[in-house]
Amino acid sequence: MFMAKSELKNAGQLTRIKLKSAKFNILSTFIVMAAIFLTNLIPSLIHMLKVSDALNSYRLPDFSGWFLVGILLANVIWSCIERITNHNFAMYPQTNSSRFLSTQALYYSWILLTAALLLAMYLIQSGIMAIIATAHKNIYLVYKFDPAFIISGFLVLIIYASIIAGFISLVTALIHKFKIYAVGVFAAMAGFFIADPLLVIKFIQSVSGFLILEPGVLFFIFKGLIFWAALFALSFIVNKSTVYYKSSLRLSNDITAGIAAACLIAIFAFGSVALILAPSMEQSAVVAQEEYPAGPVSKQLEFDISALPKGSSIDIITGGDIGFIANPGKVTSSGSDNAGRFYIYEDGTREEYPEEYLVLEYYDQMSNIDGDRLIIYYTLPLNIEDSQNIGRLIKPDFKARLEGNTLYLDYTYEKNVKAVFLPIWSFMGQFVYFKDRGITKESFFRSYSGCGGSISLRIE
Amino acid sequence: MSDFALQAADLSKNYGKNAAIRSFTIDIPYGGLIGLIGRNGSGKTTFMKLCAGLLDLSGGKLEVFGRAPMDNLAVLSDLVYTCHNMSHEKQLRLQAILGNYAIIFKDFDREFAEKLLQYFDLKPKMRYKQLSQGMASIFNFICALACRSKLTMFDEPVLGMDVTVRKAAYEVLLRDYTEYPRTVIISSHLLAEMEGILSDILLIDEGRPVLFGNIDDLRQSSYRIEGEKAAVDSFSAGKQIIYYKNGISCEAVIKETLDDEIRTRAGQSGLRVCHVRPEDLCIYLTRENKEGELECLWQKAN
Repeated sequence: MFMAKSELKNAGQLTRIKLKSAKFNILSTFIVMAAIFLTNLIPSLIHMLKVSDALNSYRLPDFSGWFLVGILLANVIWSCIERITNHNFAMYPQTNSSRFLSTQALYYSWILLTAALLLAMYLIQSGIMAIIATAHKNIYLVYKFDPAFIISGFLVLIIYASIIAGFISLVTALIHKFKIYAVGVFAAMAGFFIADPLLVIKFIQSVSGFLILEPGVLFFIFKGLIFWAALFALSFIVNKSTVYYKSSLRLSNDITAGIAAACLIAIFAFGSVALILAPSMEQSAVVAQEEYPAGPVSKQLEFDISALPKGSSIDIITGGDIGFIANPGKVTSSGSDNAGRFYIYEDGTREEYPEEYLVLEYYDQMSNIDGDRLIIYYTLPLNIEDSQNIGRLIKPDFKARLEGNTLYLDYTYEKNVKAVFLPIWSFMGQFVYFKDRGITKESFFRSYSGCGGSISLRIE
Repeated sequence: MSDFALQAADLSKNYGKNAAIRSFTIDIPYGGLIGLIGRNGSGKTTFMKLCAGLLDLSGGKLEVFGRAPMDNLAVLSDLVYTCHNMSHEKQLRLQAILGNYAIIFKDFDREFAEKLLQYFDLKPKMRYKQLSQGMASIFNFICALACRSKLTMFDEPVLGMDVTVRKAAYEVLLRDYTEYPRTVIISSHLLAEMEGILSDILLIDEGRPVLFGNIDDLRQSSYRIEGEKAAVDSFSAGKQIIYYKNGISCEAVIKETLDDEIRTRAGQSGLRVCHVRPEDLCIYLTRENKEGELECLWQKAN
């Protein structure tokens, strides 16, 4: 209906030619990506193999955020220089439609190839890390490798990238069609953005919410494809009704309009894309490595329990990943109101809360205690990074033993433990299925929380 | 299919306020090696680009093989336009560019193109960016020639080529045209070099066609007389004079078919008579008399 068979064939031929001509640029992209990948991976590996008493966490960057930024920028730049680069293909027979289709095919081929490289880099990285983790028992991969997640994320990435490309193509087609009028409209939109960015971001959120808040992967793909198809069809129709050919180019005007359009597109797209990308960018440090305080590998605490009546029983509760017991509450001994509570904090918060570090608090007089039970609570230290408690990796252990009237509390944990985060598809937090399974983090943003483990004695 | 390769009626093309082509009307039949001649800025390139569908016309009508070329794949598939500085991806090797032509031009003769590369000492593995101006001209000439398109347009194809290569290129063009007859339009300022291979000439000036015809007819269409001023003036009275110069001797170029009677009469008047070379004729037809202005260039302002 829109294109003759010969035009489709011509579009295919042009695509082949453009791909051949663009192979240097595509190759350059790959080289840059591979270089960034290696400059992240190698220093991380070197650091990882160094011995350290601390619990170290390593976060290798998730390039998918950069990928979407790259798609956005590359499409804006391409749109601006498209009519200039058309010169390189002007000698070949073509129509507006076949040229548009071939250019789009080139864009999407580039997106697909780059996304495939991204995936390949992740798989290589995962493979290397899996081998290292197998060989070194102190190195742990925090996230599980989940093929369903990997494939779904790849598809979601392609959808997001295609929507970005489709949106920019539509804006470009409108600018080509309506020239100064379109620029005027986008300038007005940019004006709104500058005047009240929150309102515009809210608007963009409400418009794009049906996609970026969709919790189901399949529904997302379905909606995304329809949305992209609508963008593409609109661009195609607008382009088909626009008469322009590369030699009509008035270079200075086009460059000016192109730069203006690029700025407007960038401003307009910023609101929505920034929502997705900001956290990914944050994660793209060369070596994102956190080091938690080392503390003693083993700590032995002595406690005189001579005040306890003979025959008192001692319960030791360990291994509970139940969080910090901040306040065990009023403890009433069975025999007296003069209950005693002892707190021994054994944690990594010395810097933060020095007054609580290894403090033995003593309430009431032991001699007055006539209860018959001593309960020792031990809470694991928590180091929560992106909803994952990596504190468990140091395998903290707590033992109590009684020698005469002395109670010994032994606290041990493994040293030189490395927790490796290999995040990918950081934008997948919207999908409940994967979020609930702990395969991806809940939020785009990197999060930390935690507290030291605690030991408390309760005498009843 | 139309018998005409090109038909233009009141064609115009403006760049902003500047008219590059105006009131351009012409019918060019299919077949022939046509020289497109004109001064700088006369509209040669614009006309070719309009025919190649690379530009949209501003007014009038233009048909190539009976159809408008703009955005028309049926027409564009049958023509090729090239110039000396075609813009290819600079990193591409010559053989890759030939491959591109082979993908899209159905009659592209790759073997012939590769032989021509060898003939003109161009290495297929060279990158386009490594070519000098002359080499790029040769390469673009080869690409367009090997397309064997029904309408082949060369825009200043020999720019930068040395004289040996130019002569070889003309020879190759003529030979290939003989083997594969089609409509070839070639624009150049070097008409004297090309007139031996051309069948027709289209002369344009200030965006309008001045003359179009067979080159042999063109040679016969005017003549030069030279002698005493009085005799020249007397002989040329009432005739269309397209060039006149009174120096040591007086000469005039008259637009009229030269025949035996004229020769006899001129001889009786003591005038020398000869044909006008097509290149000179084109100059006379498109050049305003600026001899007076030339003198002004060296005059000091008071």
